[in-house]
Amino acid sequence: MHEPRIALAAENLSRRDFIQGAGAIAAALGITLSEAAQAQEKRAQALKEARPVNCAFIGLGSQGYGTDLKRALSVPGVRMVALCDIYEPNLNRALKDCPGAQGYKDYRAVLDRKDVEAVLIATPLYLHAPMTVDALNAGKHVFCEKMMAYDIEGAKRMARAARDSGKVLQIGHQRRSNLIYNHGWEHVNEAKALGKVTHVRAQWNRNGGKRETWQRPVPPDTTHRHWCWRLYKEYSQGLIAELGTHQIHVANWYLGEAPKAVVGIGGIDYWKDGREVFDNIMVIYEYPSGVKLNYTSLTTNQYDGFYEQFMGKDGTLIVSQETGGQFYKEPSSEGEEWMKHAVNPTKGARGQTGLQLDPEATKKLSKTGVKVGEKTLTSDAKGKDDYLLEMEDFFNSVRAGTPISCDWRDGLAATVAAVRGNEAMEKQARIEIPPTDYQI
Amino acid sequence: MLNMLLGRALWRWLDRLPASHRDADPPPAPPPAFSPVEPPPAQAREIVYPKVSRAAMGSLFEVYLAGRDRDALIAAGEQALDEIERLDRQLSHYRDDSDITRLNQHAHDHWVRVEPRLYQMLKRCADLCEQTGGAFDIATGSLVKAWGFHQGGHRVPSPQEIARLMESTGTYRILFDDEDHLVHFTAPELEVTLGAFGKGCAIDEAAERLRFYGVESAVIHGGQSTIYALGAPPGEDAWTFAIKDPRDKTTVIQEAALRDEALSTSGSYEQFFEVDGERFSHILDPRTGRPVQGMLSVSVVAPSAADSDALSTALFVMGSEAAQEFCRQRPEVRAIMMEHRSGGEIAITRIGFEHPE
Repeated sequence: MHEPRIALAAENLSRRDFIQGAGAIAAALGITLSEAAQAQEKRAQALKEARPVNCAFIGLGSQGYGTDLKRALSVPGVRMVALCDIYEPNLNRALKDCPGAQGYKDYRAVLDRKDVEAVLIATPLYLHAPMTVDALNAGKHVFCEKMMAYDIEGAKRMARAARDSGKVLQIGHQRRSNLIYNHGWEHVNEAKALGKVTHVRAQWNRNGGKRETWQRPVPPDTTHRHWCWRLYKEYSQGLIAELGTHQIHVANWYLGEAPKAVVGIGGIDYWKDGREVFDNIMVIYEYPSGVKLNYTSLTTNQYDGFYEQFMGKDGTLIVSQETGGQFYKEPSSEGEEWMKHAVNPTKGARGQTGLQLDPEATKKLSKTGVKVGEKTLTSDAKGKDDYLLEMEDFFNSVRAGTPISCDWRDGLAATVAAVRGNEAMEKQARIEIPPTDYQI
Repeated sequence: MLNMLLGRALWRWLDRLPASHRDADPPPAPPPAFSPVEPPPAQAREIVYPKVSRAAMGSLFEVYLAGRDRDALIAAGEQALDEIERLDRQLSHYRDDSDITRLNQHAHDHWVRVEPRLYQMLKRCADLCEQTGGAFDIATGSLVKAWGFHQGGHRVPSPQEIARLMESTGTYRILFDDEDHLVHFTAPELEVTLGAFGKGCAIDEAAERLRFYGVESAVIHGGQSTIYALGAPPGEDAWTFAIKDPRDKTTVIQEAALRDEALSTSGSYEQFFEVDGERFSHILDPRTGRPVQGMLSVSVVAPSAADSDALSTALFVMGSEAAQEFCRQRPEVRAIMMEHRSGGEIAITRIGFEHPE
């Protein structure tokens, strides 16, 4: 029967203790000398690579706190020194997690702090542009949640501020950092596995009831407009912005172009609860090359969930965070050499035989080692969801100037598509999207 | 010979409610009209007892609520279940992108950072491990896999295999950096698995969410093996639960009155296996690498669901003598333990509970 050697793992092993010497640690913890020395070396290495970055976080609601803040604090060296929210219970919840941070209600006071190097923004949509522009002008790097801005002019102001300040501006379309999506991009654009892509279909259908349609319970000391801002036109661009821009951004990325016209139909046909934004949308975008993107988002049926489907003469690629990526060969095309790297057979909805894409196979596929498009994939990405990967990308850009994952160009193009899509649905007209929409 | 029983619930607290208050499923209604007119004041309405539920962590979680505003209660309950789902995504070792999986993938290679609440959870686990002399230990992932428990089945590893795996077992092999919330494993095959502790943490977060929305009276449970009682039923002092004998599910061996406390049960009655006529539970003793034998059921009351889950496992491993010693300095912990004795008898040990007359 072993002696329980729990010892000092539970005690506060301070940094100073650790530096004092592997011998002391080994003795204290009952592990071998070489194990302690190895651990110490790894710690020193990690410190070198993870230069501390002092950050401020503005907007600590369910996305800001529950996802973005937790992911940012999972990146070594990221320090929250300022937390900001106008709603005190949310601010206090985050402050509990970050005892070293100062709490603020006014974001301008946050930007006055000289010690803040980067700002993360997860406030409601209509605040993205004013806060991001102010932050960039104050010399801070910025991570701003999607979509980039409430309107096209706001997005352009953000883009100009990023260009002029020379600081990093990353927009929170996290699929840009997702392994499967990068892997899929390589199949479409380098291996040309789909042949000529002629159409894209994307959807995000949900049926979760009131709470999933943004009709959330309002806590005791705040208002419906504040808590359920996504239902109001003053603050929100509705489904096409909240969900659609993720997927339109993917289409733009894979196709290498942005839409030039849009038609669509939207309505408030089921959730007649006073909301001002559509509860179902169907839009079609036309790209300069002739490719069409058919986009749907429903709140009354969830069969098929969410995905993007790229349809080409030689094959079909269906990709989503939930189910990864599946490739289906068209009967008329010949087998490609790369297909043996995609492994794992899978079956389509009507029994078609397909292949499940495997990011590990990227190493074999790509001619330049593990580079996939603009990204370099490593086994270090295992076990990380794409929110964490996008945070890692952001801080790599801040620390080492690596290419920005989802930059202002991508963010602006997605915003244009959403705003013009809403315009088409409101006016019940075909809307031409001029090239000037995408220029700053 | 393999013999696995899948039992039913050990208790049903719902039996305690008067029949008139039991909440029937409302008829399907069209979506409500958005009305600027104020609803009748809450005090004028009678008390209702709605319930919401969701599958997560391989269990069915239910939130029973009590109050006067049905819509607000249900909405708060759904938010609480959202928290449980979020914790499930964060802690599950069946997901390939959870924080726990990330730790198990990378923490022996380098120091892995985890977000503050998870870091505190892991430190709490280390603290409980030390306090329980290793009877509760989350660093048993490779052992759990070797015994086949994480798949719901079992296999019997050889003594050599167990000895080898014990080299990659034990929270003392985990290093913590409090300043940056970094975690490092010093053994290459070491894996952490939160087990029931994860369920308890999720329920604690859910309770915090209910309080945020002004709920004063609720019960949250996950698969009935972990229960948290928030407040008390309106007009009463505590929620009462009947802990039943797992063998017949009708005899009440102990009543527990809980207010802002949790009740967790670890048992071998529902899940066990037999090898050469010997019966083994699915709960490993982290100190020996072997499943606990002889203990039938342990129920623990503690201030939080995370602690009650950890301690029900720890006491199950420790045995009744060590458990009594452990609880001597912990008046906030109550327990009831059922053990096999020779001759087929069951011995019941009560710690902090009055023997029912």
